[in-house]
Amino acid sequence: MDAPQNSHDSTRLVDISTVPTCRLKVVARKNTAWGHAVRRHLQERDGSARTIDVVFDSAL
Amino acid sequence: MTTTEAGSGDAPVVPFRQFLLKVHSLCNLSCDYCYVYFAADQSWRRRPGAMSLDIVRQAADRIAEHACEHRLPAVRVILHGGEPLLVGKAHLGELLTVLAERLASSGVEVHCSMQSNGILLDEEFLTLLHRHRVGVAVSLDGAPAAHDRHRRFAGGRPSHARVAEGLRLLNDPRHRDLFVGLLCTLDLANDPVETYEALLDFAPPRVDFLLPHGTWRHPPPGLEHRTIPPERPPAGVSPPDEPTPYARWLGAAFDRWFDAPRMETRVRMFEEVMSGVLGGAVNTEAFGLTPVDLVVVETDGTMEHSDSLKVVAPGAPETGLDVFRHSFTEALATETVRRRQSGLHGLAPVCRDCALVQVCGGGLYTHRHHPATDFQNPSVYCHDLAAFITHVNSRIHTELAHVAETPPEQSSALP
Ligand code: SF4
Repeated sequence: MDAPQNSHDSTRLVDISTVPTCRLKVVARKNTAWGHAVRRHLQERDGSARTIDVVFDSAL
Repeated sequence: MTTTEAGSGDAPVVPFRQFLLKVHSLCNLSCDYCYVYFAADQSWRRRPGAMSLDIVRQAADRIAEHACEHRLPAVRVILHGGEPLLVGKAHLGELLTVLAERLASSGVEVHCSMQSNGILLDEEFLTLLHRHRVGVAVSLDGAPAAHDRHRRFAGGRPSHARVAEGLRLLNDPRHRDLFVGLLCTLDLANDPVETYEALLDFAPPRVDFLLPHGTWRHPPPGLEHRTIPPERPPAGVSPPDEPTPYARWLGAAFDRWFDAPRMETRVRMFEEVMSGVLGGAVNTEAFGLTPVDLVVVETDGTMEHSDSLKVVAPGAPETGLDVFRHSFTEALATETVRRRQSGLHGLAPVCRDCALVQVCGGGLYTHRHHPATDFQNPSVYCHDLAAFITHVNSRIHTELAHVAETPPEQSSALP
């Protein structure tokens, strides 16, 4: 993969809980893929996200 | 809403919330990769063409019964095929009326959608679908050359132009709210960025990418050498001699989508993998550990597991149950559903030991199959899934490091 190289262990998943919520909220306001992902994370974290069904592979 | 019931093993029983009705078993296209007609299971040959109203009625009553029994506030009904529009306008109208009437009495909220190849979409069909509030998802594999590589009529005629016509109509302001999204089957011969951008031309509210189906016995194109499941989980980086062409393809499409200055469309696979990497829910059949909650009803009323199992062996999707003699709750007790609702427990030991398992979930159930070890294997895409998840993880790691380092005042000033 042409992934950006950095020092972290690639098999260890990121830990978003170490990043202050106020900073995440700034990202969550952006209309970008990353902004949406952070917004969903914050909503799931505070329990405000609605449950979404598992989506069958060939039916969007 | 989960219930633990006798006979369900250790895993809680999760009721079905999605009911996929095969309203027509034939198709007006003859796509060479289609699992319905070109896979091991040839059961479509003995099934009636269209689902009769009797079967629709019975299926609807069973859905209502299931919703009542498990106190479900809402269910999703997906009209599928073959090509569902082949049922024709009159039959589709009757079928949707029957569904609405029978389900209305149960009080359950019904979200109805259809997966179509888009060829037959016209003004009348769309008006009918509007009346019954049926969302439409269309299969499109990219630009004309990419799409027509596989998606052709039986005589070999390409289909892209016809699909594009249907999509333009669906995008008309009068119908646009019905447009659910585009479903794109990935082909290594197509350029990932060009493919993604060709899908964007139709302004889809959502896109999903599907990996071509394959198993350890019949590996997917480009991975023909993968016939023996790995004994250890991939350690983040695949062995140098192990090509991961699907991870490269998905990685390039992901980067194009992720780096766009504004969100151009939702991409389900990418969003779910990102959510998993961030420790959240993964709501897609192809990744993650969320229990399966979908059941298929064939045109003859038989209940089946996911369609993709047709690539495994003749009869692989069968449950032995049907809507006339059995309830959906009985289908929840089948071995396949129990295994697919048991999360980590239902996976191969290699996957249980894998650092990426919460995101990957062993891949799509069908892709794990090996004739000797059944479904107790990692996906035939294992190395690709690991490399793709690692790529997404790496991109998110970089973004998070940036967020952590940038003072809030400065980051809020960014566009
Ligand atoms: S299939 Fe997924 S969970 Fe299983 S070993 Fe491979 S990467 Fe890990």
